[in-house]
Formats: sequence, structure tokens, C-alpha cells
Amino acid sequence: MSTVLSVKNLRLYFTTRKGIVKAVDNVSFDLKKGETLAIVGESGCGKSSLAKALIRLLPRNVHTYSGEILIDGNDVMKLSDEMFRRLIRWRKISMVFQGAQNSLNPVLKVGFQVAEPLMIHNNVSKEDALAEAKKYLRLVGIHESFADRYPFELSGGMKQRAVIAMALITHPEIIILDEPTSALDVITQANIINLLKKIKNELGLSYIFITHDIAVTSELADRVAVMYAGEIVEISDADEFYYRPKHPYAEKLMASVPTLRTDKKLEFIPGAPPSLINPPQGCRFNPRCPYAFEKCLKESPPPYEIKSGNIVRCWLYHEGKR
Amino acid sequence: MSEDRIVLKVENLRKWFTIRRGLFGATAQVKALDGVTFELGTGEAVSVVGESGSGKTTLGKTVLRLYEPTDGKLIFKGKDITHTPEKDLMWFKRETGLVQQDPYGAMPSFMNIYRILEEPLIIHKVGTKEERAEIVFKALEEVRLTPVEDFAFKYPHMLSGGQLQRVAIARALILRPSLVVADEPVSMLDASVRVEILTLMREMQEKRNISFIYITHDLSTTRYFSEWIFIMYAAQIIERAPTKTLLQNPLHPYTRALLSAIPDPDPENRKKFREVPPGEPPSLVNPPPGCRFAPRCPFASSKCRTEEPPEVEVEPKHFVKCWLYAGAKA
Repeated sequence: MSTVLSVKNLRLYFTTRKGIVKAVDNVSFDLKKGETLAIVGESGCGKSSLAKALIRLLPRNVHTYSGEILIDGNDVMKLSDEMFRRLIRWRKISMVFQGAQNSLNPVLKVGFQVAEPLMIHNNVSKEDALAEAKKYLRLVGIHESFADRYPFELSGGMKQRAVIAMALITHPEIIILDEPTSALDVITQANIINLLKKIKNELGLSYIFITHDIAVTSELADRVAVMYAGEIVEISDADEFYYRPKHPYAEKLMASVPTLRTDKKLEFIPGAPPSLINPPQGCRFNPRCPYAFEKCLKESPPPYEIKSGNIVRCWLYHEGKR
Repeated sequence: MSEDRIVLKVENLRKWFTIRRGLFGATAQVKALDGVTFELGTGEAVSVVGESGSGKTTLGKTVLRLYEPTDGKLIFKGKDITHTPEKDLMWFKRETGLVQQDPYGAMPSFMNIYRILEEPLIIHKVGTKEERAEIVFKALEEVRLTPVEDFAFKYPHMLSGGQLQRVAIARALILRPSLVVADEPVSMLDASVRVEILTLMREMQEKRNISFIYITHDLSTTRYFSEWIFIMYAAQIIERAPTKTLLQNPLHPYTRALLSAIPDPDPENRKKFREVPPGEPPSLVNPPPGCRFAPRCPFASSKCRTEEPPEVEVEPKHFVKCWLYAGAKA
């Protein structure tokens, strides 16, 4: 499988009154064609900032934005904002935003909003774009008559579908899904996940699926990346990850996930994630890690390759303790 | 259950809200709670599970008499409090507590933690100033916000969501209530903190023998928390049973759909589609006649679309409101 996206040493820091927030710190990963990479982590770990860095939707207080983002082999970090907007955003990589139901404009008709990216990014005429929008609404399971309705006339699940149609209409190769179901009820969530599976197969898409909900990641993920305090601490194949997470943080996080079908004792991770302004020295998880030893307190562990594409950043592996 | 062990008895409880459609439009009734019956024993915890708009929050607020019921009966420790005026309910408020979803919204931001916890004691005229201080510090210790002197004089914005939810629990329990309603207490927290808060709540509930109503949309946490599960759909309880029974042998088609919609972390999930009913819950202004799930139910017959099913006890303590089971009994 070819690699559609390759991210190398991506950094996104913000300037705040309290200091520099290292929201995304030296993040690297690959995404293959047709693959879903899930990015999991707790709130404040930097996963939404990573999404914004990938699609270059940045706030004003950016301190550092560096690294490489290769899409089909070309480093798009070298493009100016204008060129990135014209060539990459929405045409190569689009996004379904968190709380998407509230991101629709309440005074514009649904069909127009779904059509808008085509008019803006692909210079398609309004008439053609609206016809295309109806096609995509049908694809996501909404009757085309809803194109002439306003967002308040749609249920939560339908609004989410409309937002997905909006992300698809420009034929991107990569779609970033940022908590696409977190505001939905479970049955609606299952329906949306079914839809995401279906269109991925039909259109040959690659997904970056960002969520805090580990159980839901298993619905889509071929590989899972775990973020902690701005860094990716583990990337594993799904078949491995859900049974044997490698990083101590991933292991503890998994132990805190309640299950419906099996009895297991739930655990929690004592303490709280560190500040992204002054992260702890050495491994950022060391203050909460039950296995931490001297080296963890001093030096930050580099990635350790378990097998191709699977890495863990933990001294236990470097030192042969696991 | 013998009568003296019953803390709360709810009979055919209804809460309807009046809304006006448009500026001069006609009024309509939103039937947020429409005929709910159950009883809750001393020290029992029940999880009320439902999707948004199913009426679970209205149920919680109505049993705490934060709303006055429209119809039905609400009996707390043998006393009928359905329509008791607010001014005569002080004793009841002292016996009950509430933990809300958003701890930041539920705490006055201008009060420090000490003052927040002292407030209910002052309102209910408990102890002297010194005695109250002792109670407040002890409460903080119980929810493990230690060292207590550090936390007592902080303000809500200085605490994390998890810490603040501990304060909310301490506040709900400080008057030693016999009934507590926790409305989505962990849904805004991260997974690892969730477990911590649920474990703490369960511990306090068991230690003090409190009757607990845990309102949640998340079925997978209920098995760790409660003896009972009530499933709500469109303003009614459509199935209720002991937790294990319900999870192992769900009967109502809606409960089954709900269970099958929830994934456990399993890499096999990505290879298949989930079988879930299409559509969404009905309007609570004009709910469908008959069974409210009938329009989405794969087993619905013509009877289901016209007649409301009764609640039947299919096996001991396992109640379900569905013609599939009522038919066999009739």
C-alpha cells in the first residue's frame, strides 16, 4: 500500500501569557492509502491541535509551526498559506470537525453549505455544485429534498451526515475525523460509524480518526497512535493494540475502559497529565508510571521500533526490560 | 420488598412542560416524563439509562421535587410529597442530594470550596461555626481532596474537572442524605478520571447505605455501579431489571439495539457493520400511539402501533413494556 501522508517531526507551539504551550511536539507518523489511523488521548494531550496543524487551520498565537508534512511525496509545509488553501486544504485533505452539528451556519440552506467547498476550492459553478451536493447528500443517507432545508430542521445525526458530505464533496484523499460522534447518542453513533465504514470502502479514503473514546476507535482503526502530553508515545497495529498495548500509559488507559460484554476490574491512573508549558524532564509520563526507573526521570525516550510502523517511546523497551 | 425498606416509591409519574409554538402560536405539551413507576430500596443504586431527550434528567429532577409532577404519585419514606408546597419540603431537601453533569456550572465561582460545602449546612442550620468547619474538612477528606487545608480555600476554577466533581459529591452528601441523584456525573471527564469518580461514588454509597439514582447515557459503566438498570425511551421506562440480568438477557427490542450499538475495544469491530435500527426517537409532543418504539422496531405488529403495551414481569424482578412478552402472558 502506498503512503498518502507522511508526517515528520511536526511541532506546533502556542504563545500564551503563562508561557509557550507545546501542544504538538515532535510528532511523526505515516498514513497508508485506505488506512485508518486512530489518534487517542485524553483532553489536553494535543490531538485536536495535531489535526489543526495537519490542515493548517491555526490560531493567531502560533509560536512554532515546523516539521514536514508529505502528501503524495510533496512537502506541503513549504507552500504559502494561499497555495496551501488552493491546492491542499479540502482538495487533498478535509476535515469533519468536533461538534459538527453546531458548525453548520443556521441561516444557510443545508445544500448550499455542502456545495460551498466545491465553489470555493474547485471553482465549480453554483448550479453544478448544488447538483453535486444533492448527490453527496444521497450518498450519506439524506434525502435530497433536505438540500433546501435549514440546519434546525435536521436531527443531530442528519447534521453530522451533512457535515460528512461537506468533507467528501471535493474528493479529498484524506479525511480528518475529529471526535465525529462524541455528541451523538449511541445508536446514532453506530449509524454514523457504519456510514464512515461504507464510504471509506466505496471511495478508497484514508482516515485520521481523533477521539478520546478507545472503544469507538476499534470500530475503524487499522492502527492506533496514543498521544500523551503533546507526543505520540505509541503507534501499534489494531490487532496488537487492543490486546497488548505497549506503552505503560496506553496499558493503563486501556485498563480504565469499561466493557459491556466482559467482566474486568477497572483501574484508573493516579495523578493528572502534566502541563504542556513545563512538561516533566525525561519521559513525560514518568511521574505517573508504575515502572519508571532512573533513566526515565532524566532522558526523554526516543522511538523504539517494535516492527515496521509500530513504535513505542519507552525506556523499558530500549533497555530490554520488556 | 417490605414497605419499611422502601425509600422512594414512584407511581405513574408524569411531568409535562407547556411550550408555545411561535409568538402567538398555540400551546403544546412536551410529555417529558409520561407514566413512570418503580420503587427504590434503602442502599440500592439504580442506573437510569437513555438517550438524550428520553426523559432521564426530568425523572431525576422530578423525584427530587425540583419539578412538581404533573400527575402520578411520589412517595418518599412513606410520605406523599407529590404536591407538597416548596416551603414544607425543607426536611425532604435535607434528605436528598444532587450531583450534576457540569461541575463548573454547578458551583458558584465566587465562593471558595469551604464556603460551597458550608452553604447547605448553614441553610439547614446545622451545628455551630466550629462544628461546621469540622464537618466540611471531614467531607473533603472523605472524597480524598487532601491536604484538605489546601483545597478548602481554593476557588472552583483552580480545580480540575475531576477534583471539582469530588467537591460536588462532597456537597451532595454533606447533609447525610438518604437519596442522591447523580445526573451524568462523569460524562465530561476523561476515561481514567471517570473510573476514579465512579469508584469513589460507589464507595460512599455503600458505606453510608445511600439510595442512588445514577443517570447516564453510557451503559458500559452501569455494571460497575448499580444493582438495577432502568432503560428509558421516549419518556417511559421500557425495561427494568437487576444489572446482571438486564445485561445478560435484554428483552425489549430497544434495549437490544442499545446494547448492540455499544462497542467494546476489539479489533474485529472494524471488519463488520453494526446492526442498529434506523431513525430517531419520536417527538414528545405527539408520541406515536401504541408502543413508542414501534416505528423503528423490526418486530412491530399492528397491535404495537395502536395499543400501548403494559409492563409485565417476565422473570422475577425483570419488567418489560413490550407486546412481544405481554402477548405470551395474556
